[in-house]
Amino acid sequence: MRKINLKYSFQLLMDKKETDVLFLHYTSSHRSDSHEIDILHFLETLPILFSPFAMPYLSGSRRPFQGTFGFVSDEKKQTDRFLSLTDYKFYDILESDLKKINPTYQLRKKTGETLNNVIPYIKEALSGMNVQEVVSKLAPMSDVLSLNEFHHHFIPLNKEEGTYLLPWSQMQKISSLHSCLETKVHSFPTYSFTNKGKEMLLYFVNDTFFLIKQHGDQITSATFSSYEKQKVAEEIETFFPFNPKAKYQHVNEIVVSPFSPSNWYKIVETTASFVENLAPIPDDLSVLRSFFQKEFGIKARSKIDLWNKGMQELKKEPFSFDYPFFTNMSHETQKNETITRNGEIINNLDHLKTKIQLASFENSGIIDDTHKEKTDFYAVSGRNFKLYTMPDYGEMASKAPSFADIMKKKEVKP
Amino acid sequence: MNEIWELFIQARTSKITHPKEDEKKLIDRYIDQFNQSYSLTIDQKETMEQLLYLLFDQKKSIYDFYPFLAFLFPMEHIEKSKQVFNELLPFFSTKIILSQTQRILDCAKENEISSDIIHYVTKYSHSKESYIWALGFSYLYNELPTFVPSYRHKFLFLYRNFFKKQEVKLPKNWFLIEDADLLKTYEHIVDEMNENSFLRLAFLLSFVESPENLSSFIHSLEQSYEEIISLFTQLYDYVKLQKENTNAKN
Repeated sequence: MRKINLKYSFQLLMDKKETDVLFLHYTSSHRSDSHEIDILHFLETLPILFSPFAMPYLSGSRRPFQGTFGFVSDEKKQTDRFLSLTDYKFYDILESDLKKINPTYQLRKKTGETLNNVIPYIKEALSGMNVQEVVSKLAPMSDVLSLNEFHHHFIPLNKEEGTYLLPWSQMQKISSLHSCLETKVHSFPTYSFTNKGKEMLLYFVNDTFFLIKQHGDQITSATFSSYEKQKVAEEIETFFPFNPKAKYQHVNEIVVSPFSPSNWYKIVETTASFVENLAPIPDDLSVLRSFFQKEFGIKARSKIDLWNKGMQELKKEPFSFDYPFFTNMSHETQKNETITRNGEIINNLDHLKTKIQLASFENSGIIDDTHKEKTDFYAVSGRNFKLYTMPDYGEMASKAPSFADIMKKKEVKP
Repeated sequence: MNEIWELFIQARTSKITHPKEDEKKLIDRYIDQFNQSYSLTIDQKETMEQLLYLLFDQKKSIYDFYPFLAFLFPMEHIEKSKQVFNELLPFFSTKIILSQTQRILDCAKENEISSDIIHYVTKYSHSKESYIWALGFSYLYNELPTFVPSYRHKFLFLYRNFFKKQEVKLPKNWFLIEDADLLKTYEHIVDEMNENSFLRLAFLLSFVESPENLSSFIHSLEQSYEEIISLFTQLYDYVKLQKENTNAKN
């Protein structure tokens, strides 16, 4: 069975000095092996996947504090420790940060103390506040997760790299996480699989897997029951065939991302296309009428009126898929885009190379071993700090032709 | 042509909104230079100002100014106005290109990265500007061990991540055009990219600017290419000088 790459996953990081403090990150590095998961395992787990959003943190916070999604710890009193992982050079910045947590705090410089030790100021500002109050100002997940809870709910994706995933079914069991993600995710698991211009949307509602496959102008859809995970996995494998002769490293990679608004629209469009063209809807429109009336309270005489009004509502979410015409979507629909102009050019698009592989940058980077030595932080286990080498672009530029010279070569071509 | 005409009408009918200080200086300088060779009427001057501002605002190349000459000047003066435009082109293009390069060089000379650059790179990453900063600073970090150590990792991280994304897919509808020459130019650029790293870089930089169509993409690519060459050439000269000074001291 092929593996797929999750665009994002949770990662557990710790600080060298404060090993009791664990930081829960939500990271993007789908090219890393640590984000790979077997398709069947993915379908059994249906992990939470969402687009990262702005995470509040303090300006003096050092990595890995920055970008932290939440904290994991068994200790109840952790706030001093979290905040001691900050680094301030100016009193006014420290004060303004502490005011974000405690708006009434006034910083008074302590004699004999420098900014190398910010703990006394932090303790002063947080006096009388509980952990939850403080954490809610620092991270999206407004509570500290106990280690027990963490191990109970999260599943390791790659133990060596410290990456984890959270099954959809577990989200509601962690109330602080659920409340911060409630508005960021759809009301059911939704995923977009992509590879080389092909896209497959997958969502799971009412114990049914819905698949929408798009390749070029063709859109097809299919449904499977929750017991047919093996079949869904095979559909995914068939849709993204493995190319053993691929020259590029990532050609066979299937990347799974969260839904974008356009994905949602595609579902609406496909559903609409299906209902409009293929669903066995009786002429009296009783099925469609009952759906729109029950879901959105819409009534209309003609099919067109009904559909136009209904589409406006369908575009919003969520709506219930618990209707026969949704669960019978395993018919093929085909969308033909009419291209009236320049058919010849369109036929030659492959020749024109609309998709460009800028492969020479694959190994472009700079060796920066200094970071490895100096960093105070590291991942729970191994992280790739290796950067590569940069060509001497300066010397190359001094000898490079101007754009006009490059264009002159076009004129002399046969 | 419609687009050009609409822009011209817009320039004729709308009032100048406040351009940024550096843009205003550049517009004034250009008009002054034009005025030295060709005596502009008040109407021509105002329209020219507004057109230039609109071009800046829409991030278009100075080459896009060329078609407006026919609207700005009477037919009998077109040749003269074209001549003046062509004379000013190198000055004007260089001035635009220099602004960001100059800021990177200023940072190198001061050995300090200004807070607004950090703010910009942090807040607006994945814009063309932040790509250029990542390129410029990474080069300086690579060549000059003494270059300001703070933010070192941030820029190298940006460099590594920005340029790891190697696949660019242009929208198909860009090619639904009947301009055979434009398509030929595009094909030629793609061919040349095999041998020219800077063209590939420019291709990527222009793509992140989200151009509207193939024509604006190629315009942007040309500007990006010259910008990268100018950036690296100047940084190369600066680095060479620094290395020579260090060797002389030793």
